[in-house]
Amino acid sequence: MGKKKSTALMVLLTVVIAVLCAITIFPSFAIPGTVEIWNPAIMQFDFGSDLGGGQYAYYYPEGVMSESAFESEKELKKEEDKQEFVDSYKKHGSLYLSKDEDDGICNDKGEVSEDFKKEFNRFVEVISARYAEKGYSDYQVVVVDDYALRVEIPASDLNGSGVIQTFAYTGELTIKSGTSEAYEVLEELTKKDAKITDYIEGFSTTTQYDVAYLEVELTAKGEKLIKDIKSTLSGTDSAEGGTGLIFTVGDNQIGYPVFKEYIDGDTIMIPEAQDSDLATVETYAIILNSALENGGFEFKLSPIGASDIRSFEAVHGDIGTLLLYIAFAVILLALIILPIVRQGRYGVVNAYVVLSYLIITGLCFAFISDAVFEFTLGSALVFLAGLLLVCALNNSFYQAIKKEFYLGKTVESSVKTGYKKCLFPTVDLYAILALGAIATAIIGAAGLQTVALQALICFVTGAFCNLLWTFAVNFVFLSASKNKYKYFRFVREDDDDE
Amino acid sequence: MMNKKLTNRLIGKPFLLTLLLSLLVVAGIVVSAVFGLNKAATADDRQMLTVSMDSFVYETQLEKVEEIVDKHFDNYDYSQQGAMSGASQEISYSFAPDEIFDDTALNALRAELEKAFPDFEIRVSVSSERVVNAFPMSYLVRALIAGAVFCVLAFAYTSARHGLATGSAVSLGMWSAGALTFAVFALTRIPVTTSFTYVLFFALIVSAIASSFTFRKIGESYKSEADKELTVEDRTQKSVATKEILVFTVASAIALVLLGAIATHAMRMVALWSLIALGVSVFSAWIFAPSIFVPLKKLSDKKAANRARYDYKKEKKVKPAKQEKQEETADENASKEA
Repeated sequence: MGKKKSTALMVLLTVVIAVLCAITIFPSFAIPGTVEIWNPAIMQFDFGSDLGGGQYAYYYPEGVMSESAFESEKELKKEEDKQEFVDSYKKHGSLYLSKDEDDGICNDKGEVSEDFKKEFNRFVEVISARYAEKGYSDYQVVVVDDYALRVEIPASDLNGSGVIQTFAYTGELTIKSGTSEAYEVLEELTKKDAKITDYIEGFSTTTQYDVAYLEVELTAKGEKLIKDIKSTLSGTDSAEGGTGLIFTVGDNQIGYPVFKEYIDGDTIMIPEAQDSDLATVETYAIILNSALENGGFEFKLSPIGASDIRSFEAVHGDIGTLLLYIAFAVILLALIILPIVRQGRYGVVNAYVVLSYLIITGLCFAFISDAVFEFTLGSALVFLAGLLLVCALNNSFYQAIKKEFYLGKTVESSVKTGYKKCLFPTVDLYAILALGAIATAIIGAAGLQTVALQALICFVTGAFCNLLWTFAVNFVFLSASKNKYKYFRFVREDDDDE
Repeated sequence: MMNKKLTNRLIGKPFLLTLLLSLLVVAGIVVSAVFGLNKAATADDRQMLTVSMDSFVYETQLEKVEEIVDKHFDNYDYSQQGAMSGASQEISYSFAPDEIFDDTALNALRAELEKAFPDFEIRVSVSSERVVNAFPMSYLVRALIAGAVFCVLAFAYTSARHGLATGSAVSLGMWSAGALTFAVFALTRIPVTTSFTYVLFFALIVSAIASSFTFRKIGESYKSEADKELTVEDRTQKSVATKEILVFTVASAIALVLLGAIATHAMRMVALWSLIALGVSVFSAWIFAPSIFVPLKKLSDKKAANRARYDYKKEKKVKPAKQEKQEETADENASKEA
């Protein structure tokens, strides 16, 4: 390649990398003349709770209240009623348990009933399973003073409050028909021996043509039931108020009504949302499957409103993320500067490749998301591993070229032979790492699955950087270089003699 | 020179190394089966002291609350601030599950908080918490299965490309890195959270990378004319990529120390775990994998030599007398004709 052409390419490369770097890492600022704020790609990551904090809420069975709620209610009572109110509750840790028989928690002596204990323990397991199914990288289900629950989820779930409220449903699963004015439970299901599991096999989600569907699998009995009432249902073109079927957990409707077009033999496909909101439909499937498998509970939970859901910041809050980025900036600077010092202009090639790795992985982590790609501590580890590997392999290319050069070959020949010798070992290494990442993504669960997918991105990017990009950038820079020996910091002994 | 000698001595003892590593791994599995892994404070049962305020509280006021709580109870593990959307806030402090809270101290805390914030309704409560999903067994089992499959895939790929001996050595090195990391954490009772599975994954990655440096050199050695006469032991000892592995390890260690020193408490924990995993994985790839390669390669070479022998003779079978006599006659006739 001629010097002019390669110089022009160098300039173009530098400009492109500078612009992409700015998109990826340039700090936030308010755009002058507007109310908009510029945010680089790295500020648009969906962070796990260890980096981005999250949301939490308490689940109190009716008849159980926190100390704060108890004191607040007590203060609202008239003076003469306060003592009666206090006597109607038993203090248990930081909770107050109702002694009212109707609540079914304590007797008037303050002894907690065995039935309530059993039912609450079953409730704890079911709630824990619901959140486990959701696939968060990090979440907690905590029993507070034996008879209340606290649930914590990462902030990356934009519909976190919806999840917390939906997973709190404790009623039984049933099917109702009617209009938006009034729905009634299907007659067949009101019979004494009727069990919902005789009619429904399960719920799942699927997407087709940008729409996320809730898919209902019916049993043979369920298929017959739905077939018998299909003719009474309205079509999707009916005006609001058309007759449809709904699935409810207790008194809570889950998803949209079912119209006759959605029914196809033993399957019902209900369009619920756009496919970008698949996470919401997955929440519906989880609560419906949970209610199908476990039935309802003897108690209800106190209603959870949006104002009962609290947010918490990661330890050190926003500054925690900033500190992490500062740490990475120091590491990146070291990995850019050291090779330049030791390897001359080849070190500049390494710097371009490192920045390219940062750009590609940063953009992928930011924009392949929808709460699938939470950035967690594991993500930081795999990014670091990929980055170090890229630099280590670039260094091995340099050493191979140097070895060939000191056997007496020309610089160009050394580069060609050096790369050739390193090519297949590099391919082998990335192949093993990619296969391992794919296997872990398929088999691992929750956070590990996400980290494995991120590792796959890092390794594919690393492979591109080491196998193609380093060679290409080096070719451009070397072509533009006046002194190829100086470029690599090589010294030929013959030249010294001259 | 001394380091090279030590490295070569260690590599020359594959069976001793295998025995030691196996004992450690078995001990780790037994301890974790009996006692479980030691859970970190954020994933373990605890007592929580919660200070609730009935309205929005500014950062400076929250700091004042923390200062007052520190004065009365300063031996908490961590604190967490929770805000209801625009409304009340609470700060929770985590204590050991057997911590005893004196009523007098709690009342003194309440009194001081009420005095400092007369405009707020402040409540102080203590609750015991049991974490239900600290370390879901299914999550850990799936992580271990994923790690095992990673090792099997490494074995399959490397064996197809470079032979069974290399594939087995790389795969066993990776397996020992993961298993030994798990055993070290189980035996030393270092507190962990579910993020520990990321560190096991990291251990396998580091082992694969470090092994590749050595086995690439071994491959080059087998292609080199200069090393034609070397034995398997000498070739392996010569090819151990000590410099490359050490440079990679030091660079990784510095990066992890920087991450742990500058970033948050949570990252510090993961960085520390990763440093331990780095050390264990590098040992597996640097010493164990090459040492186990030697006997495997010898076995593989022996089998290859048996298959490739030019004068490969079948074992002499005992023939019936009649058949032997017929063959003797045929031989005599053939020699007469010649």
